[in-house]
Amino acid sequence: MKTTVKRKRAPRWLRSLWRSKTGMVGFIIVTVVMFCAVFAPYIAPYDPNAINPLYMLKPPAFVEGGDIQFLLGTDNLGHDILSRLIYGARISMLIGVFSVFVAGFIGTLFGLVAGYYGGICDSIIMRITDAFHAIPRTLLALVAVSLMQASVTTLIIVIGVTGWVNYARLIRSEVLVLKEREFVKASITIGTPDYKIILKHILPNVFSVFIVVSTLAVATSIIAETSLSFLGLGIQPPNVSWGGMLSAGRNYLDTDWWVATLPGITLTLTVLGIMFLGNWLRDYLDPHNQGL
Amino acid sequence: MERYLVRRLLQVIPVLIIITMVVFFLVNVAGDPTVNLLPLDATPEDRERLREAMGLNRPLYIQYFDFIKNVLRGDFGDSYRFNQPALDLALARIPVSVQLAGVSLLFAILFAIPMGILSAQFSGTPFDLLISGLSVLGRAMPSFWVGILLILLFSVNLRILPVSGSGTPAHIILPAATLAVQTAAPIIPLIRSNMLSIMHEDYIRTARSKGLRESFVICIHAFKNALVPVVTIVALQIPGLVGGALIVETVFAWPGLGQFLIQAINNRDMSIVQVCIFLISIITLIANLIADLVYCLIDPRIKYQ
Amino acid sequence: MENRESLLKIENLNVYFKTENGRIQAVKDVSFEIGKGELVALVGESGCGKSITSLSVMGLTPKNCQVEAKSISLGGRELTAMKPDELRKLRGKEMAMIFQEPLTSLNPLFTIGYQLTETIRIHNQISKKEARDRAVELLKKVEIPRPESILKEYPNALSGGMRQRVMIAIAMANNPTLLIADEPTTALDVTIQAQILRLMRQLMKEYSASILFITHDLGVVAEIADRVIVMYAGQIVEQADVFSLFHRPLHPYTQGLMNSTIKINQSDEVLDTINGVVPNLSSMPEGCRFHPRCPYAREDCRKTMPELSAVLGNRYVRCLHWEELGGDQNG
Repeated sequence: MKTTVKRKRAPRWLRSLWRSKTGMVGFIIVTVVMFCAVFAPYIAPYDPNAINPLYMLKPPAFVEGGDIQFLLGTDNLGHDILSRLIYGARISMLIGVFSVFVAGFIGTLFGLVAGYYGGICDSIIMRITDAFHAIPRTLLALVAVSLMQASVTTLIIVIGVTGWVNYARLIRSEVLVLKEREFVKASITIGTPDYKIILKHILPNVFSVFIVVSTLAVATSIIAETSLSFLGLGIQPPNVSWGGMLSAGRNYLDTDWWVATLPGITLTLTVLGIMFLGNWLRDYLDPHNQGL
Repeated sequence: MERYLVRRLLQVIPVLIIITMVVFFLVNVAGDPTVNLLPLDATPEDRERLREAMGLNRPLYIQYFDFIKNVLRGDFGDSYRFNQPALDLALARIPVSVQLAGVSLLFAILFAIPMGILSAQFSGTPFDLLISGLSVLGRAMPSFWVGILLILLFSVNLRILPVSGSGTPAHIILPAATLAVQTAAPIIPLIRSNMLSIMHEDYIRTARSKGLRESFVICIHAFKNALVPVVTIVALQIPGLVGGALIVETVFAWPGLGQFLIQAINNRDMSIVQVCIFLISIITLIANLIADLVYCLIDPRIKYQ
Repeated sequence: MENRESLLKIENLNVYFKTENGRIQAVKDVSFEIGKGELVALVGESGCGKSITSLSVMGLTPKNCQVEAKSISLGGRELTAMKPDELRKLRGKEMAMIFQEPLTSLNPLFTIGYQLTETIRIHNQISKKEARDRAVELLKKVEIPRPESILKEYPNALSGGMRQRVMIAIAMANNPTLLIADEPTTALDVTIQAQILRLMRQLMKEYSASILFITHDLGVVAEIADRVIVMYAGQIVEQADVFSLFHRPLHPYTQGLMNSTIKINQSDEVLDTINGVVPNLSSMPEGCRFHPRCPYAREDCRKTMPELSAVLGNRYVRCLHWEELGGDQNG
C-alpha cells in the first residue's frame, strides 16, 4: 500500500544552504548580527554609553572575578561590553550595507558604460579605475573622512565612493561577454534603443555577479569602517564601533585582555560569516551549478 | 614583450594625471586649506583675506594647473608644522617603510609557498584543513586586529618581542608578521588549488616519464606554473597591502611613511598629506609594473599574444 | 614470424581504480611480450585499458590506481620488485614515453633546450655544455631545422608536429630500449602523421629500440606495426602478427574495427560501425565481455567467459566461436 503524503519541500536555496556547511554557518552568523543590528535597543542589556565607575574593567562573567550582571565584562569607563558589541553591530551593518549600495551604484554605472559603449568611454573609465586602484582605499577614505565631518553618513559615502573599482571591473567584463551573446546582438541589429537593451538584457544578466560581489563587499566595507574607527577618524562617540572599542582596549592588553579581544573576535566572526555566505551564494548562483 | 611593457608604461601617464586630480580636488574641494593657518578665533574676513592672498579664490582649473606646475618641479609646498619641503620629509620616510614591506613580503613568501604546496600535496588531510582554515581566518581579520593579537601573544604573554617602536631587528618582526598574514592568507589557497589542477597536466606526466624525482617535478615543473596566477593576484593586492601598512605602522609605531601620513592627517598638514598620497600611489603603480614584468618573465606565452 | 629475444614481458597484469563506489577493474589478466627491435601495436577504443597498461609498465599510473601483476620484466629486470626510486631511474633511460597531445605534453614555461637537456643530465653525469651539444644532435636526428635556435624557444613557438618531434627527441635522449608511444600521431594532420611515423620507424632501427605503439587507428597499425594486440574492455581479445591479422581477423571485435576504418577507395560506402558502446567498467557483462555488441553472440557467449587461446600457430584469440566466424570477408 502506498500512501502519498504531500510534504511541502523546503525551497531550493534553503536545501542548498543546508548542504553547504560553511554556507549555513555564514547564514546563521549574518542573521544573528543583523538581528542585533536591527533590534539593538531592545536586546542590549544596558545603554552602551552608560558610565559605571563602580564596575570598571570587570572581566566577563565566565572568567574568575566576573560579574553575572555584565556577561562580557566592562571596559575602562565601566561600559557594558556586550551592549556596546550589539550597538557596534548596528553601526557596522549600517555602514557596510549602505556603502555597498553607493559603491555598487557607481561601479555598475561605470562598468555598464565602459563595457557597453567601449571605445574612448571604456579607455577613460578604465584609466580612472586604474587610478583609484593605485590609491589604496584606506588611504583615500582616511583623508576624505578627515577633511569632512566624520558622521555615519560621511562614512557611508566615503567608503562607498572609494569602493566601486571592483564593481566597475567585474561588471565591465560581464557586459563584454554578454555583448557577444546572440540575444543582445539581435536586439542591436533590429535597432532596439540602448537603454532598453541595457535594462532588459544586460542588467538582469549581471545581477548574480552583482549580488555575489556585493555580499563580499559588505565584508570589506566593514573592515574599512572599523579600520577608520580604530585610527580615531571614523565613528565618533556617542556612536559605538568595534574598531573604536579595539582601539580603546589596546591600552589594557597586558591586564584586561577582554576589552580588545572581544570586539576583535566579534568582528572576525562577522566578516567570516559574510564571506562564507558570499561563497555559498557564488556557488549557488553559478549557472554551471544549476543542477544541484 | 617589450611592446606590452611599453604599452603598460604609457597607460601609467593618464593614471598619474587622474591621481593628481584626485589629490588636488580632495584637499581643495573637500577641505579648506586655510583651516590650520589661522588661529581659531579668526574672523570670516581674516579668512577671506588669506584665501585671496593664497590665490584660493581663482578658478579651480587655474589652481590645478599651478599645482601641476609645482608638482612637476617636485614642489608640493612646505609642511606648516615642520617648515620644510613636504616632499623631502616624505621621501626620508620611504626607506623605513620599504624595509618593513620587504621583510613582510619575505615572510609571506617563505610561509605561503611551502604551505600552499604542502596542503595541495596532502589535500584532504587534517594538515590541509588546518592550513585552509588559517588562511580563511587570515582573510577575515583586519590588519590592526592581527597586530593586536600578535602583541597579546608575543609581547604580553610570552614577553619575547617588543610591543612597538623600531631600532633593533626584533622590532620589525611583529609588524612584518602582521603584514605577512595579510599577504599570505589569500595566496595559500590559490597556490594550493593551482598545484592541485597542475599535477594532472600532461607535462607533469612527461616530467615524471623522464625519471625526475617527484620533489623536483613538484617544486620546479609544477610550481613555476602555479606561480603565474599568483603574481597577478599579488599585483591586485598591492594597494590593499599598502593601505594595511598604513595601519600596521600606526599600531606598532613604526616610523615609516604610513605613520607619518596618519600624523599629518591628524594635524591637518595638507602638503604632507598630498605628497604622501602621491608617493604611495606611485609606489603602488611601480609595484604593479614590477608584477607585470615578473609575469612576463615567468610566462613566455605573453610574447605570442 | 621469427622468434626474437624478449625485451618486455608482462604476465597477468591487473589494474584497479579506487573510486567512491569501490574498486573497479580497468585491466584484467593482460599478458604479452615485446621482442627486441619489435614494434607492437596495442589497439582498442578509448577506455579499453590500453593507456593504463602502458602507464603501469612505466610506473606512472594515477594515484587512485592499484597495479597488480605476476611479473613485469624489462630486459630481464623485474620491475614489480623494484623500489619506486629504482623504477624512477629506469624511466627516461631504459624506457621512455611519448604522449598523445604534443600541445600540452611540454611544459609551457621552460625552453625546449631546458626540457631536453634536463632528461640528459639526470641520467648522465655530464656538463651543461655536453648536454647541450647532445641536445642539438638529438634535434637534428628528429629532423628539426635550426636546432640551435629552437633550443632557446618555448613550446608555444612550435607547431604540433614540431613539438611531437621534440617529444620524440626527449624520449630517445638516453637511447632507451623500450619506447612507449601513446597515440603519438592522433592529434596531428595526416601528412605530419606520416612523417612522424616514418621518423619513429627510422629511429627505432637506428637505436635498435622496441616500441609499444598505442593507437585506435588501424590504418596507422597497418603502416607501422610488426605485431598487433587488440584490447577490449580491459582484456586482450586478439593477438597476431600484422599480416595475419589484416588478412584474417578472428575476433568479431577486430572485424568490427576493421570494417569501421574508412577505406579510401571505397569512400562512397556507408561506414560500418560497431553497435552499442564500450561497457562501463563498473558493470561488466557476464560471459564474453563483447557479447552485447557482438552480431554473432549466442547463448553460451552470455554465460562463459572465453579464454585467450593459442590458435593457428602464433595467434591468440578470445572467442568461443572463432572457428565458425573466423572472418574471411577480408580475405
